Amino acid sequence: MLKPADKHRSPDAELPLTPPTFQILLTLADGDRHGYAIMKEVAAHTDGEMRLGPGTLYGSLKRLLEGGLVDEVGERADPEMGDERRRYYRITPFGLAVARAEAQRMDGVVRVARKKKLLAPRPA
Amino acid sequence: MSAAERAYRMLLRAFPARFRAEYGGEMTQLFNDRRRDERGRPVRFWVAIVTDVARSAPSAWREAQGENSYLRGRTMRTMAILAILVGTLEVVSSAAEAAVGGVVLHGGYSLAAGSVAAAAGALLVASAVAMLRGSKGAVALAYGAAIACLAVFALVAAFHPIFSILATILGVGFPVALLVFLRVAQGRGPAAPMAA
Repeated sequence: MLKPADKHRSPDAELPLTPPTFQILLTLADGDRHGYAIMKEVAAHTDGEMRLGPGTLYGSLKRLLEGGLVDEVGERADPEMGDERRRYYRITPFGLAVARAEAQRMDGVVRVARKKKLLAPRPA
Repeated sequence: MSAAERAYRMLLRAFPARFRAEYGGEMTQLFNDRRRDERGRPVRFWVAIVTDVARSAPSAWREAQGENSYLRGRTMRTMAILAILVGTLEVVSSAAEAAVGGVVLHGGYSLAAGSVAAAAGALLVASAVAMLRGSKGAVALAYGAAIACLAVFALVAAFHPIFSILATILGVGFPVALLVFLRVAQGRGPAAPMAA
């Protein structure tokens, strides 16, 4: 459910997203994660090309929290990582709408790039 | 605490205090996680960490300034609302003085001083409305209005006081406060826009 305030906000108004911001939203799209899990998954998504440092990751998360695209959902230990408690983050419905809008925007860019023969045609 | 963690905590001082208080603990946790992952490649690890701080600390500062700018914007709105109230009071009291002293009692000085003061009050209201609307040139107009009000009320009070004590205090005191506020707000400079 979108919060009442989000009903008046257009996801398109948040675009374009910076690459780290979009990667963080993509990572959170299918479940809650803590900072380290986000960093590892972004590295995996990008074949290790984007390794978010602590400053970049938490700077982006702060902006996403302030923009209502992500929520904090409390602290708990990650069973795979011992007893240390970690703060988890969750994408909001508005954040999901923004991620969807950014993906569509990028899809449009890729289609133009294919048309201009900057990319190989899509395999059949 | 390891020497590496101590060194990272020193690097964290490059971030604004509020950001550090909010995320410093998690950033240190992530630093330790990455250090564990990249054991055996200390040079690459530290280059990445220092580069990350050098890239992200300036934007954290810009955003912190943006938050200050938001507060400054709220103060600007409060000043504008006060300017509307004070300006309206000045227009009403000056117009009354011009009407009673000038028209009824045939005092040329009261008529002239009251009319000029009413115009200065109206200019103050106009500049406050421009500030609230964020119009171009609002700050310059506010400077002009404050100086005009200050000059009129100070001169009238000095040479031939015709306004009440309250109107004189407001007519002199508020423009001074507005000038000081505008000077301080401009001295801080414009804030950088926030990036998504």
